[in-house]
Amino acid sequence: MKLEVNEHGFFGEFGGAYVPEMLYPNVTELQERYLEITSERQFQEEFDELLKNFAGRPTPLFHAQRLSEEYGCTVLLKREDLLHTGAHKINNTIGQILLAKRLGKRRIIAETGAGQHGVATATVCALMGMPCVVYMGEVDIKRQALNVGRMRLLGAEVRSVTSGSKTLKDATNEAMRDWIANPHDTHYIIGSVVGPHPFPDMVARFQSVISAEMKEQCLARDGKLPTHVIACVGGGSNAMGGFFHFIGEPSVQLIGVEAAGHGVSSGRSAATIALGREGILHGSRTLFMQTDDGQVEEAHSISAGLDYPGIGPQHAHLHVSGRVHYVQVTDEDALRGAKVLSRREGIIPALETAHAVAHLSRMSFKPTDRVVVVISGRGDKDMGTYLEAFGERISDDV
Amino acid sequence: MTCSRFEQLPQRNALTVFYTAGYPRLNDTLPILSALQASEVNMVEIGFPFSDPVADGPTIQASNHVSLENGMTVATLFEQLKPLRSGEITVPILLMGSLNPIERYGRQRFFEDAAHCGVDGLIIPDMPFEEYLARYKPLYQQHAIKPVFLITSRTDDARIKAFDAEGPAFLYVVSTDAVTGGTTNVTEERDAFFKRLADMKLSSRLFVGFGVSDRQSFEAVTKHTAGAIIGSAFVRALRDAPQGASSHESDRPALEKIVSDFVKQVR
Repeated sequence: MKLEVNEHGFFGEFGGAYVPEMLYPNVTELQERYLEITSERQFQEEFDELLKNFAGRPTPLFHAQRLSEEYGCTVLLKREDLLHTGAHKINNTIGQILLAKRLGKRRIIAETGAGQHGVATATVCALMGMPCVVYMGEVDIKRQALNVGRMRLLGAEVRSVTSGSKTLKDATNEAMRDWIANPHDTHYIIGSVVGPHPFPDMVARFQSVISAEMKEQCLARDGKLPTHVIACVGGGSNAMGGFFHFIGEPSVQLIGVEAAGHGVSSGRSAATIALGREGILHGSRTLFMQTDDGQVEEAHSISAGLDYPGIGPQHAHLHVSGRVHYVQVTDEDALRGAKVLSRREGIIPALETAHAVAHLSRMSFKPTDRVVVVISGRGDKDMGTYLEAFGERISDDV
Repeated sequence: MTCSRFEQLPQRNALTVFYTAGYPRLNDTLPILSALQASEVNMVEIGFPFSDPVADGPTIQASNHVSLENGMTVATLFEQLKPLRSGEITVPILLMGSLNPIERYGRQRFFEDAAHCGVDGLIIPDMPFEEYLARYKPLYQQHAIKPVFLITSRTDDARIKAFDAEGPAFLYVVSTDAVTGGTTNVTEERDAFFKRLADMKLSSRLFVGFGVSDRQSFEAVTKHTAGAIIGSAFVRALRDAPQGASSHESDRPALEKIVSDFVKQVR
């Protein structure tokens, strides 16, 4: 299949631009100009240069030998965790800040959950000398103090959001309100494949460098495409980036891993695909967790980056069309996944990434399978959670 | 159905008041409405709550939250509004809220129930105009409920004319298109916008909302338009009144006093 956005911003039944009139001119300006701007040669040269020499691309595709032995296949790790700022988020913020400059914007706003997108936005704003305001839920500010400090050191203003569940969804609401109040000079750098059209498509394009490199690296290594690509899904940007160039390759199985929290039916999860129903959230028609009265439900995951009740419209479409298989991993299994990767391969992953790693043990592979796992981020920011969760047993083997 | 209740609106200085259903207490929805009519408010906008109201400021967000905590749902609202037109309420009534609760309740069912209760108009700020044309326009027409479209100083003429051609209850002029911290002269920019609107010779009434809170702002904007909508300031009055949110029982005389005191401050 092909994943193409139509002229109204829809992927199948999902997407669109459900924004109040106050944002219509901003969103329309982006819709009309993002393709033209991002396909300019000069834009692409600048983007590639920054990805290479500022962010550190291409990232390696590492053959994880001990995991390969354990799971009876070839496990390959796409090392987005090695990028500057420690996660894939920087791919998108570099793209969007270059776009914002060409649109003549002078101020940047962003939302953040775990703080990775906030740090990646603060970083490119420092690089370009642009003022930056990051909205972050009060709860997340407490559990991600290190990233708050990084953003402040980089010169960004971190605004605490105290409405609703005080997490990512509320930070997104607050950033949209800021954009409504400051439509002229401000660009909103959304951190995932969510929001009104063109954000999902635009962010997916900026993140697609992940699968472009993967494809090339797999072909160079084996002369063949991988058989599986596995990535974690919150809003879904690293997964969209990792899937992008394989969507039209039916031989490649694509697997999105979402956060089951305490368990899919525990009432404390972020398993959007499993539990979500169609509706309108944050400017697009998509799947999200909601009550029978259409109120958005609060998500739970041990990982702040997956703690979002919705999912990007492309993923909703890829799920309904059956192209991507979505599975759920609990907090407990994710912690185990983090330990497995740390002990077997010497890589401490972000909690988000640990969900994707954890799923490996639940699959059965053929010896000829070549499985790429997107290691979307590194685990430094989650050390507090790991210390608390493992306690004295942190050095025990798994 | 008899002729539209919007026709009873005065040509000038029409006052519309917005409040959130189920706030401060679940069963205050109708008593507040009666009190507003008794205070000679010309039109009433009732908000149905949403957990994530992106286009609302802190006061109305908080009222949405309290209303949901009180147990308000779309179904409950229609239950409350059922006796609306069998009593003394003759003022035009609009519902306003986010698209998602409507879609979850069922589009068709929402319009049927709203029409059955005697609702005259429905404002859905996050509904794109294309969605209106494709999916909602037939429902509005079928149930004789009027749409309302928001416009700002950045909405171009062609778009405003397209809204106007749909025969809305009115065009909702968003007055505070944010110039926070800027050097732009707010009054000048606003007057230029009103002049542009006047030059377009629109057939729809104009009502100004967002940022209208007292007599001064009401008089300033109604120089150019048919009327204005006051929302946050009224919700604040309900919130801050000693007999308001603090009491658990619906106290009609107290509510009536809050409402009439508030309306007297404006007009």
